[in-house]
Amino acid sequence: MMMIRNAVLLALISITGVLAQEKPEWQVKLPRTLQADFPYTKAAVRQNFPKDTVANKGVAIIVGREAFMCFDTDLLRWSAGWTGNYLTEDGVSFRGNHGASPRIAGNQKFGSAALAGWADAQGSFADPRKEPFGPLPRAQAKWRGCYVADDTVVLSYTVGEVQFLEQPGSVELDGQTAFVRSLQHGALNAAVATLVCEVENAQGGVEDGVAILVEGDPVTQVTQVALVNAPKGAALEVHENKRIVVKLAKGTAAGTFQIRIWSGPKADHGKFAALVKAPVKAEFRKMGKNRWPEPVVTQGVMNSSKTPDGAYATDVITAPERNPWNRRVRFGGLDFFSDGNRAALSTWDGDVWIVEGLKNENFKDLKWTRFASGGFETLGLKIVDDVIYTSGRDEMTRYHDLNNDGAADHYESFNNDITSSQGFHEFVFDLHTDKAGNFYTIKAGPVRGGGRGFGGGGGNGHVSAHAGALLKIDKHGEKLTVVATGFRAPNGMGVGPDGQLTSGDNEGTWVPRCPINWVKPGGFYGVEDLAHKKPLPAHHKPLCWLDKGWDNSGGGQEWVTSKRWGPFHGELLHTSYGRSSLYLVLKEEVAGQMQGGVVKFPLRFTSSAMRPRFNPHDGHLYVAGLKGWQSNAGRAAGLDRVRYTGEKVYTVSGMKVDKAGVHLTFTQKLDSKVAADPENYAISRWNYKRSSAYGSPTFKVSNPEERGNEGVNVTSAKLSADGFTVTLAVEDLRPCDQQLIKFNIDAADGTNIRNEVMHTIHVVK
Amino acid sequence: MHQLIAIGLALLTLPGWAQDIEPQPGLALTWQVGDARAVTVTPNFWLYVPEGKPPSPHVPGGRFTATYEGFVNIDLRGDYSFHASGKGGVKLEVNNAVLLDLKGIGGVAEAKTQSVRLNKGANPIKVTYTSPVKGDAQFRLFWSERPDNPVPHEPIRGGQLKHLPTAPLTQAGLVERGREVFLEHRCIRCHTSEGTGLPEFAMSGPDFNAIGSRTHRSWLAKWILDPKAQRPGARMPQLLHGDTAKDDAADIAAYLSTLRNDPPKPAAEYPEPDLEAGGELVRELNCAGCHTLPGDLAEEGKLSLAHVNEKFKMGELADFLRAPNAHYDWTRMPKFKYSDGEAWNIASWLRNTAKPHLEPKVELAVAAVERGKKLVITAGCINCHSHPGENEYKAPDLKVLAADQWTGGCLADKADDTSPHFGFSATDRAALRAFATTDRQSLHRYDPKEFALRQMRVLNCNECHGELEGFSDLTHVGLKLKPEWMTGLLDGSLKQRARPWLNHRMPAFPVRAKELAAGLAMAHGHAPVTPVEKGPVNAQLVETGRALLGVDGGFSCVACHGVKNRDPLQVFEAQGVNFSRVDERLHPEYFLRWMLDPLRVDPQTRMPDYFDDDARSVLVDVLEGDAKKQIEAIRQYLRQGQDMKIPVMQ
Repeated sequence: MMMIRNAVLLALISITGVLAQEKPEWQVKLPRTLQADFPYTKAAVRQNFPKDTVANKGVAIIVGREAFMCFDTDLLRWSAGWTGNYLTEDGVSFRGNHGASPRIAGNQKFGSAALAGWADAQGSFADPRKEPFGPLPRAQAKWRGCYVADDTVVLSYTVGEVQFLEQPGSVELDGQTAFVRSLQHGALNAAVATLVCEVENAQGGVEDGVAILVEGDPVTQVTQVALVNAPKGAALEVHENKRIVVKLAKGTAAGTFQIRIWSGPKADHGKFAALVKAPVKAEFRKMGKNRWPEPVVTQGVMNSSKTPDGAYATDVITAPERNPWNRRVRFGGLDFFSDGNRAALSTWDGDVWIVEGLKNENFKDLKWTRFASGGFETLGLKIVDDVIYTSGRDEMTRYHDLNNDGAADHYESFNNDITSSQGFHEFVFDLHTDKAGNFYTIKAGPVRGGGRGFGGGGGNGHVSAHAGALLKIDKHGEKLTVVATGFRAPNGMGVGPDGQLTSGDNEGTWVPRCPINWVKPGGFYGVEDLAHKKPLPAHHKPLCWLDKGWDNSGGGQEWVTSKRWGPFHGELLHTSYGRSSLYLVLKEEVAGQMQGGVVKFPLRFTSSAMRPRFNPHDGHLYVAGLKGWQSNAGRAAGLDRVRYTGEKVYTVSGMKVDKAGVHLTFTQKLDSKVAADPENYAISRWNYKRSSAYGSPTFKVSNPEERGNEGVNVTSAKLSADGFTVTLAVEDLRPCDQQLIKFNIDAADGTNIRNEVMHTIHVVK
Repeated sequence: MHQLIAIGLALLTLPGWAQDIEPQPGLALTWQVGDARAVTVTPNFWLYVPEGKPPSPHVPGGRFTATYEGFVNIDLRGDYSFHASGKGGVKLEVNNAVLLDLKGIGGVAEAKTQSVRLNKGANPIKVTYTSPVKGDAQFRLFWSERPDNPVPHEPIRGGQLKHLPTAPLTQAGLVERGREVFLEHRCIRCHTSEGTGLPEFAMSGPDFNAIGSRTHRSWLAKWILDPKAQRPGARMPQLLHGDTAKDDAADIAAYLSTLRNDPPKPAAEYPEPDLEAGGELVRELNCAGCHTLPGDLAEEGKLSLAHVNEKFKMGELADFLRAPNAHYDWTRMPKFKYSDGEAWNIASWLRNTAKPHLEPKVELAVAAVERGKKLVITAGCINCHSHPGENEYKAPDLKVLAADQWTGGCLADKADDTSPHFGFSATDRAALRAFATTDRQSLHRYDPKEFALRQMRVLNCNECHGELEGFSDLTHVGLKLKPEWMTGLLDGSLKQRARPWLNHRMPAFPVRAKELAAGLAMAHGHAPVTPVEKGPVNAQLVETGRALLGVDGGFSCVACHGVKNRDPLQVFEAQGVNFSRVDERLHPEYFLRWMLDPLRVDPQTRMPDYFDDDARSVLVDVLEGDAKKQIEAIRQYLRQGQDMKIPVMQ
């Protein structure tokens, strides 16, 4: 393992008196904020120079003892090389702060501005993109992913049509460190050029095969670059007295060479020659040993909670919150392998875990193994043909275990077209496929620290092309398209069996309350700053709004594809991240408009409820979640099974609204006397105003300018002939943003049903 | 509307009620001490009365019974239970069934009813409370809408309690209003000889000391001539009548204008004001809650600021804003603790927006000044305004003014030319006369809770609270805040605001602070002095509490709440109060209810609920997953105040 003295500040504080002493050390240590035993960390990495430059999709790679280099996968440039300490722990997924992302924590030696790392056909390094976010044009150069082999990382990209592998490294001699770029390339049918580094206010030239930039008068600081094993026709050049580039000639045969970079005080500049001569091996290995061979074994907990009717129970698949690597575990994605015994979970911290033992009786001896790491806030995961895909802020990644040892070696960039600025709030949530195999994910807007408004630069980021958009990536990863816009912080979405798209969102600017959106291609879902269209399109009304106490931060949706999960086959489920709750969605289409509401499954989850998925093997619902920002969640990570016990279900299963009133359909036959007594129902209602403020106060439906709620009179309750549906005649029934129906009735068998329905009426027909 | 419907339904089911009687908010309350009885309307079922003190201004001190009658309105038929706590005897009847009948809950004790089925709509409720033989009287009645759940009982929401008005209640309301008009217009300053012990008796008018340095002479003359012409709501009467009035006013003003700072204030340099910042503060601090701003249309009950240039001399408005009570302790204008720059910016914005004024230069005739001085002594000014010298104004003693005489003088339907004109409305006069017919012993009985509720109205607290976003509703403020902390908040002595990040700021009402805080506590059934919590903090629970607030293994409360000098980690929209400031503010009973379900306490809060309806915690491994035990552990941690150790924040 690599030595990284002082590289990471380790917060190793034990929890006093909570855990027994005989436990191994890792079980009583707090998880680390930053990982030092994996060769890289992905983040929006801030560098010291050129000033205010950020690698929006940075890969900060450990390249030696106290030596680091950061690769920008958008621009395919090396944004910085530094020595000393690794990264600061700034950032919402690190130390939890809003705003600033990690900055290089050491002594920066070289750097580059936000230019293309490989020149275009005309030899220009100028940024060719329409906006300074997202990848370079593919014809120029394209990021393909990387290979992790033990402590080395091999980057893969194409320049034009030519495949390049690049292995960063370093060499240390006599107190000096040179950074080494080892490149392996195919035959070049055209000249190419790569950017090495930039020094502002410098003088420079090439002497004896060494490109030199000097600073100061008299000279104080020197930057030197040399080639090792350079192919014929390769040339070092200094452009504009500030930029060192390497050119490879057309016709260069496939081969390998190295670029060595050193910067230091003038007094030490003579030491570079030895650093160039020192042998540095680069093997371009594509696979290595599994660095996490031992599993963490946890014991599940059955029946951690139950619905009052006993029909649904939760079982805890206990997460490896404490593990030998002191890794934080915060689940952001969930899916199942075809064996039904294993699931994969991605974490906000960039790991992929595999849990084995879902077929074990009572979830005994669950085996958790780490499969991959280093992802950029991977908050979505999907398994297709037993291959894992994740969605992260930088890309969709496809993982390959090349040597079949249980850990990923090849982190293939499946699609990296997504735009990402530095904003701390640019989460990319969830990952689904439709029947045709297309992928869907949804990106949040760059909400400002404090919660109101969007973008503005710095740690708040910018509104880039994909901010607040639902995105589709075709099954081959070739093409990313924007499906719908105007989302603020939709921590989860859904794709129905017929391809219907849904999403939640989070109360805030332009989002008066959390909605459940019934998403149509081309639709606009409310956040005006993130419409990406002019003139501003009409707001697509959500299926329903949910009041704060029900959902203050929506999670994902899931369709009940299982026939073994009680009476709800074909229905839609919604989760609340903020309220850690599971809801059945009651819905109807009236005059082309979806409307409806929710009824709660009163269950308790280990963490938030965020990624609901059916396990095709046992037919039960599994819900994964994390606690990372405001939520009433208990633990940092949770995976629970919501199991149908086979008992009778006593709840609402359907709702329709028309001129006759509100029709509520129950799962059981109702007591004809109690259910037909209007005194056993209470209805109140209110409206919201969509605005640039945070959320909305409530306004009276009868007087839209007056704040508050109002009760409405239930004039009669009529039970249908079959005894399952109650029709509530409601005085002054009319469209309203929010209506709450409370009831306290009995089923025909005497079982009390006391519950509430929260819904929205767009149309009364 | 909902409630009206609910009431409407109740009316249908309870024959014999007149359909045209509209139920009113609050409960009818009858006080009985010996043979003395008084009725009033009260917001809820709670009280605190120190032993021997009168429970109301309208009955004497001594053992008493308080009988609350009214209806509790519910929107859905269900099972409920009630919970009485305090000292004394309690009989509770709901829907005419006796649910509790306790001779005495001795010490501070509590009693809970069985579950009882209540109907949708109005359910008659009656509580008879008897004060204890010995010790202070204390009583609170809470209820639970889910008696099967192990969660604490909670206050019945204010809007759910109603009563039917009766003639005695209407008459009592009139008397109370009369007494308030009497007190607020400082009647006692002239008609002396009755009344002791009420804070209002100390209330005066602005000090004459150096008034000439603060205000323009021309404005003083106009004001003295007819205060209501300058300010329709003025409580100062018009004292000058007849042909000489104008000259008299001018002479008094001339005299007052000679009352200067001695030695004079050093000449001030006026910096360039930031008018935009001043205007922003005027908006942020909701000055328009009590004032109409220059240029705005007049609004009843609001003091117009159109005349600031006419009234205040250069620099004086800023000084006034900084310390409105400097020359008038009992001013209703609160103290906002402005920095010098803020006061100057606000004053400059107001001056810039208001009509400009050029004070005419006038040579003051010595004779006029002398005459003015004489008038000040003889016209009654110094009954309210402090001024050295003998007061030569005499008004009849209150004692000799029998009720039938409360129709002349200041209270004549048609103003005469000799008495002060207060401009009382017909209703005010009727109220004063109703008050006159009482034995007026209420002027000897100080009831802090009555004072506090009345002052909250007089001081317009609800112009901001419950009205504007970001202001807490004050309905249950005495259940929430400890009186000691409330005193510090109200007198401006708190070193740290609870929410320093808010643009709004709670101003100080220094002279009223202590009585207001005590009265609000007592009106909600809390003692005016919070009992010292016995025992040291529980060290083991403190550690558990600390872990529960932290990120790892806890609820991550530190995401939104700061701890001592540490800022919260990641606030969106709603920052929480610093943990070191919680224990000094909150009553433990309130804290428990708040923590269990914040949205039940405040439907607008952004604080999430961390516990299930059945008081279970999602952190099942800590203290058996018992929400109440976890909350107590957190409370033990919070009890440490500034001595707390920082929880895990990453």
